[in-house]
Amino acid sequence: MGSQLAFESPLHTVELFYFNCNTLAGAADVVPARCLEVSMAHDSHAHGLNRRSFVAGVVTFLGGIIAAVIGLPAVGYLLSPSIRKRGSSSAEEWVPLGLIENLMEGEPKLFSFTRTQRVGWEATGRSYGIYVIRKGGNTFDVFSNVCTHLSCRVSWQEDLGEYVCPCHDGRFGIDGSIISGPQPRPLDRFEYRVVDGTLEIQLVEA
Amino acid sequence: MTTRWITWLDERLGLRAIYDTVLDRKVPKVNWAFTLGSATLFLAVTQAVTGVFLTAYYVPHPEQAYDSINYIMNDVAFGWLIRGIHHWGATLMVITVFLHMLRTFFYGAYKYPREVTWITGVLLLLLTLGMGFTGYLLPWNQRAYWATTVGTSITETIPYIGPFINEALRGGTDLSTLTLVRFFSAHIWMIPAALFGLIGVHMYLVVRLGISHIPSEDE
Repeated sequence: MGSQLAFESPLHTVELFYFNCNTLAGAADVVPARCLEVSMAHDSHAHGLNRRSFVAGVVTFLGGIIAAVIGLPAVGYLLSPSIRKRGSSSAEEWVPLGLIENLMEGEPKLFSFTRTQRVGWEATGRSYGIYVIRKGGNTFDVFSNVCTHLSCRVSWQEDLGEYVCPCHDGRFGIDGSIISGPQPRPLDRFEYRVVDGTLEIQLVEA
Repeated sequence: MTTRWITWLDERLGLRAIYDTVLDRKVPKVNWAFTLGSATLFLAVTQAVTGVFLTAYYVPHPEQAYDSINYIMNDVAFGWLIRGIHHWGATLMVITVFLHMLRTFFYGAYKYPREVTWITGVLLLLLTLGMGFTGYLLPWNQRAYWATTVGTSITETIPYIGPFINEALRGGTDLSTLTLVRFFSAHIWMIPAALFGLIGVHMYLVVRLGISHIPSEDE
């Protein structure tokens, strides 16, 4: 079965040589895939696997592994921010303010601190002002000093006995209630608890 | 069952004709050096895929570029893997492109009728180096900053138009936010568009003309 091997080019057809598939010799510099397939199929007919399907299988297998090695981590990569636990600074957290023995009854005391919140690689500093009033025993009023009107900071005026907002003259009573001004609701409160004589408040972040 | 589906699709899309033309074309008996083109193509696709994923977190801004990459490396699941593949794949691709060119050169495969394949290949080499150059700045660390400072200032030595080219590359007299953003734009849009367009032409020519055989002694 001599078959003519022609190397097809759109520009010209080159007749290289006559080729006999049954006498595959080392002299062949160009081996038509068709001949190769036939000869291999003939050689390994007993196994029902020729060279071509073997190579196809191996390529599919290795390709699958490569796709999985890149593909599966890629899914985790994209979903990462929604799967990973948030940092300790966000969500709900108990923050110690100080020993309750230092708190005088009926006297508002301001605690100021700054917390850093991380979202991704961005750190945002956020300052808090907390007024704590001991009402006797282990009961307290814990207010945020952020005015409920437009978020200015209120301050306790000893002589007036009121919290006064400097922006629009909003006034709150010592219990946080509205006395006068444009504010829509009383001062916001924090949840608190006493652990081993230390007052802790719960920061709830958006 | 699978065969039936393939037949159904093939009747409508003619996929087998594409498969036969592209993958079942006749090839001369060659050696492993002839896999370098495929290796380069594989790396180019891998770079594209991992690069697309990296843009999910990377921010091209002087204040955030370095931190966002740190975040990818340390906090994102498998971020180290995606960036690692992109990082090493870039270096490897330059190597395979170059070896591919050497093979083509030493086997004389650039000759008639494959001159256009060669020319597109040379352009692809340049574009690959362009990808490497623009990508190198993106981490915005000391090495990236100074490498780009040196790299762009080389253009300044061109007579008359040198300083202008330097400023055009940097988007100003010095490296700045503008430099980072234009390098980013070039790295993810402009150069890849040209690169994959030319890969298309290159591949078309390879399929159309076939690959050359290894020259014999008397050739």
